[in-house]
This record gives sequence, C-alpha cells and structure tokens, in this order.
Amino acid sequence: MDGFIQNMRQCFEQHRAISLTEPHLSELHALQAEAQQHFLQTQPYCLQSKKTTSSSIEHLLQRNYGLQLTPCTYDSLDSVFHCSIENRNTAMFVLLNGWYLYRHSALTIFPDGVVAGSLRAALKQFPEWVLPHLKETEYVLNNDMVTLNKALFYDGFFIYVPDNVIADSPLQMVNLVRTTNPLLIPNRDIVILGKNASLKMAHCHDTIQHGKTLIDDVTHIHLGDGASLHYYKIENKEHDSLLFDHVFVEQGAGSRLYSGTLTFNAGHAQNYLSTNLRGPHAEARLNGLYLVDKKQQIQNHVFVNHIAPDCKSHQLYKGIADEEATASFHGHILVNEHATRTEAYQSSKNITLTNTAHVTTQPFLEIYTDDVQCSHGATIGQLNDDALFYLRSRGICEYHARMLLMHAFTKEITDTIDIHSLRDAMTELVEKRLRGELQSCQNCILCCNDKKELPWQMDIKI
Amino acid sequence: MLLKIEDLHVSIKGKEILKGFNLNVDRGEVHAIMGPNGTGKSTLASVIAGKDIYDITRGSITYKDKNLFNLSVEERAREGIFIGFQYPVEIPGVSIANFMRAALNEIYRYKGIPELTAAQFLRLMEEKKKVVELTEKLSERSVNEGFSGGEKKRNEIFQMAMLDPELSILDETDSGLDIDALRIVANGVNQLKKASNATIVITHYQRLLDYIIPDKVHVLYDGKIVKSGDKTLAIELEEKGYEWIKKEYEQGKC
Repeated sequence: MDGFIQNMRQCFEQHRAISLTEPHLSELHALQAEAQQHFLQTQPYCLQSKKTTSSSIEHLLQRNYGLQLTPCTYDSLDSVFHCSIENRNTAMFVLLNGWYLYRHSALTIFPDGVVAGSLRAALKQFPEWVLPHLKETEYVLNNDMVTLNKALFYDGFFIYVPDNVIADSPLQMVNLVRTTNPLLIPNRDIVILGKNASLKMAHCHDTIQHGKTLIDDVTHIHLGDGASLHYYKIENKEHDSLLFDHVFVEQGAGSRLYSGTLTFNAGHAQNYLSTNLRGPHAEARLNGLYLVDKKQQIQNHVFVNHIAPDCKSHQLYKGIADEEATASFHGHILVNEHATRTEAYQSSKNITLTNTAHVTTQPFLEIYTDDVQCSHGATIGQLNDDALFYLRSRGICEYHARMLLMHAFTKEITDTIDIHSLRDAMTELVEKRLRGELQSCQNCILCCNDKKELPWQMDIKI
Repeated sequence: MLLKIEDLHVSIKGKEILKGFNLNVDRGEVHAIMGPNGTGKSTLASVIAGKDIYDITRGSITYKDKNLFNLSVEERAREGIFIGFQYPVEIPGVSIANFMRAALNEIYRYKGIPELTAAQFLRLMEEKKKVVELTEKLSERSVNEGFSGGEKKRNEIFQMAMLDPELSILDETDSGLDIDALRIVANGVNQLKKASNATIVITHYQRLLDYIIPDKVHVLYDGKIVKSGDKTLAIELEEKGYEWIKKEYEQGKC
C-alpha cells in the first residue's frame, strides 16, 4: 500500500495547484489540508486487505493515478455522447473527469427556485448552504475513501430545492470519464431538499472512453421535514475501473427517500448508502440491482439508522452473478433505543449462474428497543428448474427461457423506478445486459446509435 | 398414427413405474386414461413432455413418425405436443402475454411461418380468452402467480388454445376444480377438438368424462394398460370402483 500512499501524496501536491488559484475558498482549503493530514496519518482502512472481501483491488490501486488539474476542453460532447434516458422533460447536467460542464453559468436557477449545477460555483455563491455539509463529521466512519474525497475534491454537483417546491422535471446528473491516463476523480455532490420539497433524479457513473480510473464519489443528501426524493444511481464502468460511491442521507420528520442503485458493469465497485432517520415518520425504500459477470466485483453496503420513532425502512437488493463475478450485500439496520414502533425490513435475493460466481449476503440487525417490527431474508440460488421446464414445454428454447426468468427477476426492481423514461431505458438496458449485448468497455452505455442533437450546446469554461 | 407408444418401460431412481405401456392415438380421437393413484399416469405425461428425471429402460414413443426421444423439450412443443400440467408453475414477473408471445414466435419460426404482429397477437389472445371465459388483462398478470387451482387450469387450456397443438395431454386437469370451473375447462377442450388433432385426458374420476366424451377409455394399473373400452368403461368404473379392476388384474383376467 506504500505505493498508493505515495501516489496520494503526489495527488495532494497536484491538488494545491487547483485550489490555490481561488482565494475565496480559504475555508475549504483548511478543511482539505486537515483531511490530507488525516489520510496520511491513519492507516488506510478500506485498503487493508482484511477489511475488504477481496484483496484483488490492490493491483487497481498501483497505477500512479493523477488528477485532472484543469477543466476539460472538449468543444462539445455531442459527437461522443448521447444519453438515451435524457428527454425533453429531463434536465441533464454533466461532469467530465470531475469538472462541471456548462454553457452560460455554472449554476442554473430554475423559475421555481430550484438551483442545480456546479458545487464549486455553489461554494462561491452560496457558501452558507454548502460549507456546513462539507464539515460533517465523516471521520467517524473511519473510511479513508471518504477522507480521501474530502482531501481532494474540486467540483461536483450541487442541487437545492427550496421549501414546498415540487420540482416537476427530473434532473439527471452524469459523471463522465474520458481519459487515457490513470485518473483519480474525487467528486463531491450535495443535494438539499427543503421542507416538503420534492425531487426525482438520476445520478449516473459512466465512461465514454476506456481508461483506468479510480472514482471516489461522495454524495450528501439532506431531506427536510416532509421532503420526498427519488434517487437513482446507475453505474456502468469498464472492467478495470475502481469505483467507490458513498451516499449519506439525513432524513427529517415525515421525509421519504426512494433510492435505486443499479450496477450493470463494474470493474470493482463499492456502493455505500447510509441514511439517518432523524425525524419521526420518515421512510426509506432502498432498492438495488446488480448484474455482474467476467471477473467483476460489486459490493453493496447499506446502513439504515433508525433514530426517531415511527420510521419505516425497506431494503430490497437483487443481483445476478455470472462467470467468475463476485457480489456481496451487507445490510445493517440499527434501531436505537428511542426508535420505538420502528418498521424495518430487508431482503436480499441473488442468483448465481455458474459454479464459479460468488455471492455473499450479510444481514446485520442491531436492535435496542422492544417495540419494533423487523425482518430480514436472504437467498442465493439458481434459476428455478421447474419454471424453466414449464417455459420450454411451451416451445421456448432454454436460452430464451433463462432470459425470461432473469428479466422477471430484475423486473421487481426496475418496476419501482418512478421516472418513466428512466424505467424504460433501464428495462431495456437490463435486457441488453442479460443478452450480453451491453459492453462496459469502449462505449458508454447511454450512448446509442440513433444520434440526436443535444437540446443545448455545451461550452466548457470555468 | 399420430402417437404410437410401444412397450414403454420407465423407472425413477431404480423403481419401475411404467412396465410395458402401449398406446395408439390417431388424429381426431379423444382418449381417456384412468386409474388409481400411483399407477404411472402422471409419469406418462412427464415422459412425453420430456422431463429428464426418468430413465427410459425399454420401448419407444413415435410421434408423427419421429422418435420422440430425439426431440428436446421445446422441439416437442414446436412439433405440436401440449401438456396441460397437473401443477402449473408460478412464474412471478413473466406476464402471460409475454410468455405466449415468446412461445408463439418460437413455434412460428420453427415452422417457417411469419411471426404475428403485435396487433395480430393481441387479437388472437382476445379470441382465445373466450374459449375459457377469461376476462382479465393478461398483459398485467404473471404466469399463474396467485392463481387459484381453477384459474391455473383455465390458464392451461387458454395456453392450449393459443398454441393450437396437434396432440394435447391433459394431466389431471379436473383435479381441484369446482363444478363451474370443470364445465368451463371441459367446454374449452371440446371447442378445441378438431379432426386434425388428438387429446389424451388423464384423470382419476369419471366426472370430467361427463363433459369431455372420450372415444376410447384405458385403465392404467401397475404400469400398464389393463383394460380398454369405449365411454361405457368409464361409467362402469365409476359404479364399481377401481377395486374391481385390481381384483380382475390379480386374478389374471385382464
């Protein structure tokens, strides 16, 4: 690991070149300097092989990653990128190699008061909204990918929905990568929903050009009392990419979080999703779907923290592992002593298609009060032989019968996607993925051949 | 001859179930195979369907002059064999409409017939729903999921109507049906009867045969057919019970 630490030392040096050019960010500099110190002083936690379910990420770390020091300068992206999810009703925002791309301004302020755009710009314009979220005590997690993100991030997405505003069109945030050199991309995203505000959004990790990347993404989501958020994460990365995705949610009273984490391809991906149910009657529905093959590895870690009484949480994670892929699900429910009348459910269902695919599923329930309803269930199995036979006995060949069953298995998750265009696109992607037609490398999944013009021009200047 | 079964011996885990079974079925015929429980009725249906848990130790099944054992499960279906299962499987997440569309497409492709358009398919489905008095939207219902016993059997006959098979084998289709469901299922089967197809009804009770009139009735006992006759045999069985057959068989009379 010394090599990686040394590499990070170099990144910290490089990072100074980015941040020093903007003097108004002095408070951030102090935070980042502290985080850099912290990272170097503590023994890297998630990088210790005994802490990860697989030590095979080590070679992915020994690559001498660099940072993208300057904003990207592609004249336009439309020659290489077209998103199939995006449509007239969706506003799309793009980060390329970690830098926000924009035309007129780095922050878009919609008529209803919704603000969306670059975190870097938001830090300048609305420091009082952004800074408190950057100061949050992440060290307690003892997770140095989060520390590393704090030490290095330079941009990301910022979304703000004012009190009582129902954002009528979904937002789509796309993290794109285009590089030939090994690149470390530490994005920080902040999503704030005021009281009774409502938003639907998709957040995609994607690649438009094959390159070795380490994505270290941290998202903070704050839901005010009565707020409602649909948050879909879509991941499709090339086989030798390393992706750490952390999402931390704070939920106020009566707020509702609907999340869907869909991983189609991942070299090695670790998704962490945690939510603190701080106010009574808050609800979290957390769904996940992962489809992995070859030697891909996917980990999903979920932490639901029932702090206030009368909250509900549901977790449903499903996955199919083929060939030599490895998938794991770690679901932690913590019911604190004051969280009476909690309802917390967890279900993890997995299919392994080969003898060499590995699935680990680990429910972990920690309950400190009596008046609760909690359940958990986990299955790992093969496709149902009786169902396969039944389908074949009607003339359907084994291959198609398997497809139908796998599609049915995934449908339970894709059907919960509440953005129509996204649900259709995801259903189609799942089908393509199951047929083996969706390649992770070279082409971006969201690229499609029927190239349409982007609804807006993209200028890249910061 | 549509189906010719000769001296069929079938075992499962070393235990012989069918012990020299013979049957000839021609187009336009309805055969009933009756018999007490555990005599091999369902084994026969499963072997014809192509379930691979059985050992076929002797004998042959010839279907449309082809050796049935050379055909895969799906090829048998595409060649026109339909099994109405005793216990249809629930398949959550696969809609009946998608299931039938996939099946018809593959059967048509196999036969070299152009596939139906979406509109043609929907029309066909609406037409065939009437055969078993189905009124629900099948695009929204998963195959057999949450169906009652009667609904499952109606769904089997609906599938039969959609796939238009040449040989249908209905395995205990009457079990678990109340009188109304029995009438609907039997009516469906009767409507589908043609000079070009044949049906084998496997049943324990004579009840179903009040509605579906068989041309031939066979009694299966101890792994082979011990008595054959016309529909009056079924009535005689209902009156005298299977004990009568057992006695005759053990005395070597049949």
